[in-house]
Amino acid sequence: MTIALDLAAYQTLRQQHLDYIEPQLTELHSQIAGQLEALEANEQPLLLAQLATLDRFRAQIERDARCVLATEEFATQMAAWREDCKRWRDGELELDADFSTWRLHALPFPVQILQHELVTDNWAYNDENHYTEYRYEFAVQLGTWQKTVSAAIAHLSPGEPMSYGRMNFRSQQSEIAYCLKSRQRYNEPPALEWEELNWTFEQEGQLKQELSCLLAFVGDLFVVRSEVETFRYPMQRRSD
Amino acid sequence: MTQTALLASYEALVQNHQAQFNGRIEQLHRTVNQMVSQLQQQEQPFVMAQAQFLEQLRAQLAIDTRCLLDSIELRDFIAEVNTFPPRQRWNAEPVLEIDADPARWLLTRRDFAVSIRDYVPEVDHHAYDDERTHTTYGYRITITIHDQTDSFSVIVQRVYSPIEQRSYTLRQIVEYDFEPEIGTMLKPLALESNEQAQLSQELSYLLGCAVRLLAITPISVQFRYPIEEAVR
Repeated sequence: MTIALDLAAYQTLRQQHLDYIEPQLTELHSQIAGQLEALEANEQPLLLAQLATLDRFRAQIERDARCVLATEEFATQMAAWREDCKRWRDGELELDADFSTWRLHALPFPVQILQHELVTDNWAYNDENHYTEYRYEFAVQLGTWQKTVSAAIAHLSPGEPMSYGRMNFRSQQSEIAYCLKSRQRYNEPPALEWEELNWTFEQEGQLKQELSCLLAFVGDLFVVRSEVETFRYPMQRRSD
Repeated sequence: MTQTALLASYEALVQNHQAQFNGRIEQLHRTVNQMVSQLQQQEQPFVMAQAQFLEQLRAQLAIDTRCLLDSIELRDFIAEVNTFPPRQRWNAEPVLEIDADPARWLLTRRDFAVSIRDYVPEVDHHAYDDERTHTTYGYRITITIHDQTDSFSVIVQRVYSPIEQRSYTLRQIVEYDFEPEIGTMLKPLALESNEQAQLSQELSYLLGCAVRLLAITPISVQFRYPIEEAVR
């Protein structure tokens, strides 16, 4: 028995289908690329304006980040953070709502910020997926003590559709708090981080908690974000 | 300006930027959606014409897939599979070469029934490989050889992310998916081992060719952006 159908006609039909649709897909592709390019060009002046404004106070904050404690923006951020912590019943250390009483002010040296930079990692992994992670990274220096801290600000995860989400302040703060934790070896007595201050462990813990809030605020503040860079199709966008 | 005022004006710039561009990017998403569904409409006549033809082809292959044995499609299929390197065997067992001319196949001298039916495309957006969640594209088919009937799924492509995907070659599909299944189905026939190996290889090519004819997937539904824009 041989096939009673005209397979050649069928193959021609398939070929026609491909020939018709493929150039259109290529066209769609270059149209999107073109639109994205135009959007990037539009976005550029906005990014530059942000960078220019940032430049006018960045150096001051880098010299001593404590200067933001007195600003309204910090107060607003902290109020939102408190609400968030309540919602998640995250009752770690109590921080005084009045920032002027914070232990940070008792430091005999400034809180310096060094080498703040943005990192994009296309191969971040969460035990389930590789995804793209956007994060900032910088060093903080208190006297002779220095530590590198880092926090994720957004992620782009594969899936159908892909999802883009921003990390809120609380998640950045807790990531930084984790970076600040002392690494203590097994069987080793706990050691003070700033021996010269003669503080107790509780006092140092308090300081680190305050520091994590301050650093997350500054870390996020220094990020100039491109919105266009995150475009993918298909995609679902979430904030926080 | 004082530092506080600067900070406030900076925040205002950031807010303004976000408000403006979130809208524009949403707009771009809508535009792409529209363009893709337009394309889907445009390709509809092609899809319909193919579907009509497929209806007849499907009916015929479900009765007897052997009808492909003297078709050009099968010869083309064999040639195409052979452009991919053969599987490396761990035990250095000699690789069985397929005869490029199906007219000389052992299968032509055996007269048991061969048929294929119920081709169903499968997409799984929640596939997991012990390491990553990803999307798999493939199909499921039901095969009858002599008095044995069996269904199995074949995965053709895995999409991990916009910058990483893995496709299986025709040869991998024939050798890893079809041959073992068909080999198992031939067992009850109690053939000699080299005869069984040769028959399962021939049947794998024949059925692989049939599947390729049955596959119909609209091309535009697979559109995603960016495609293969690997940044490593």
